[in-house]
Amino acid sequence: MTGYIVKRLVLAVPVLLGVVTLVFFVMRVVPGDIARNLAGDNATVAQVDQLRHSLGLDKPVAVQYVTYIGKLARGDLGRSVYSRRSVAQELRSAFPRTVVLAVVALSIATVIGVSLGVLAASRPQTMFDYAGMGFAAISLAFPNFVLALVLVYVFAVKFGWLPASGKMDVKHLILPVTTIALRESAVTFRLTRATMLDAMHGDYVRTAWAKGLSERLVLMRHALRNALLPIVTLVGLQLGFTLGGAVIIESIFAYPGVGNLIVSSINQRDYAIVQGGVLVLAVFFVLINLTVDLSYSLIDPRVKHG
Amino acid sequence: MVNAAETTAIGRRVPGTRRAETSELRRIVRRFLRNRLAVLGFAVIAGLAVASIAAPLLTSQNPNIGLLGAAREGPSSAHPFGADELGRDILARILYGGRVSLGISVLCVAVSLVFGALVGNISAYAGGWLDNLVQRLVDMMLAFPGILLALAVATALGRGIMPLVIAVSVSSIPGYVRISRSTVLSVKTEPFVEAAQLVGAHPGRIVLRHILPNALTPLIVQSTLQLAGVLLVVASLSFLGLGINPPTAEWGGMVADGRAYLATSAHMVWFPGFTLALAVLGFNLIGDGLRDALDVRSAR
Repeated sequence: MTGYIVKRLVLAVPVLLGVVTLVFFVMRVVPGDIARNLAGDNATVAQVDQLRHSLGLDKPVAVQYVTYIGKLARGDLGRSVYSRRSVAQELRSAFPRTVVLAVVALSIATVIGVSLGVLAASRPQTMFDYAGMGFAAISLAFPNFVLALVLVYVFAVKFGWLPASGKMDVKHLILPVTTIALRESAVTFRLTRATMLDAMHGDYVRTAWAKGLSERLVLMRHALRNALLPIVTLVGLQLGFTLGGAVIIESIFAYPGVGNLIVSSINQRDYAIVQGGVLVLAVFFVLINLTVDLSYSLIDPRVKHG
Repeated sequence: MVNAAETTAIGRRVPGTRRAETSELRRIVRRFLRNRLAVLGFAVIAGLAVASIAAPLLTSQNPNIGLLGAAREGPSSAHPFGADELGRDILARILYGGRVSLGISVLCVAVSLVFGALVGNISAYAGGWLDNLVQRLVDMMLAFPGILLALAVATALGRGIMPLVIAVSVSSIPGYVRISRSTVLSVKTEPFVEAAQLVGAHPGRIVLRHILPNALTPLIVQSTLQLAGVLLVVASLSFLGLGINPPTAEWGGMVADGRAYLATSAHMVWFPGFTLALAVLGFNLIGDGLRDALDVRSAR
């Protein structure tokens, strides 16, 4: 087990190095002169050159890359050229906010999606099943920014119950969390329903019914337990993608999370933050995938990690 | 009847069995048509596509020129969907915008399909270090959300149709590489590939003539399933201001334009936003129907 974890982590290193390299070079292709922007309109050419030199941007890109990787190896993510704060500091304030948003939204989505999915699969082709499928199809059809605007319109503009945007407190979380949860619960609902329908045809479920077990026991202990692997995989994927993909939600609700930070840094050409932010996201992605894979053997004793 | 020895359930073609192949295709089409929701989805997409192609016949309004006097007017007989902040007719902009939104999405899927299939085929057929290298690259690109990669690429390339297509394609190519590689790996061991190798066929010819045609069905299904997602990514990038240049209409960009007027002229958001949702719903229904039609397990 430990050997497996170590092997997976070692294999992740080249992938992460690749991610950093990719982002580093894509960012260098982005047009726009960071020193020019920073210096302001009144700066002389000499001042801009001096600034560029002090930021190390006058060196060849290859040299900048080697310097960056060297620092990275010592755990130094660099410094934001605008706020002058270290990238680690910037991420430390933005990342937890995004984690809260993603974890709260996905917990709600998973509870709703799985329970409705189990119910729908236990009553296939009934009104309840059709209503669930219809609801899922509609919430999957709406782009998240349209869904967000619908919620803002109804709850902030029309009734004025909830704030449309702003910083961190429970009230400000409700609308972004609802936007994410609506869509993700539809995804979880559809997958749960499909895998449960498969599981309900299994011999072990027929046996459980034949033994005279209650519906609750048959559904929860026999069918759901066997349908759990794909659901856990899905939740892991959703978590990874929501952490980094909440860009649009965060920008609509002006939520100061990591997505918003990365987008504004791309626009400002603040290279170090973009590189550091994407790297941290990728690390989380790798860790989530590993956790999901490890959880398989807990859920299903037949799965062994060598 | 389809002879099971000649074709497999996913419609894999074996050279020299043309009749089996057409009846296989016919069977898939028949099962697709039996699915009422799938047909509905097809009708929605066909309707939207025809309406945007025939836009000049359906509206006499110019999508890019408006009267400022009509700015942000609600729906009326002159402007059935109302007018935007520059007094432009929203119905006309949605109709003409469909050419861009739907067209770009189809183009993105086509580009990623061709590149992904090519790379996946070569990678799987070559094997060895090349395959290893390609797979690590794919791992890398899948290790963070595609929307961020698309965003960075779109920022690097600037606004416009080609930058948008490249940005969206780059982020969806890895998925295609994965799928085509795994399909090719299973086709690669078929006897007809071995036969071609034995008679000394060139590797390029083997890939193009023998492997690719047999690996095509899952890729095409994947493409259909991807259309909805790609439409969403295109609209999202436009919404963030990384789409095509104004004044050209595009659905995601229209929603972004209307966002500032949500409190007073919400129709500017609703009409393009709901059109987008309708298109995604249509693509999703087609995708679900196609998957069911090809699914071996639900075969009667």
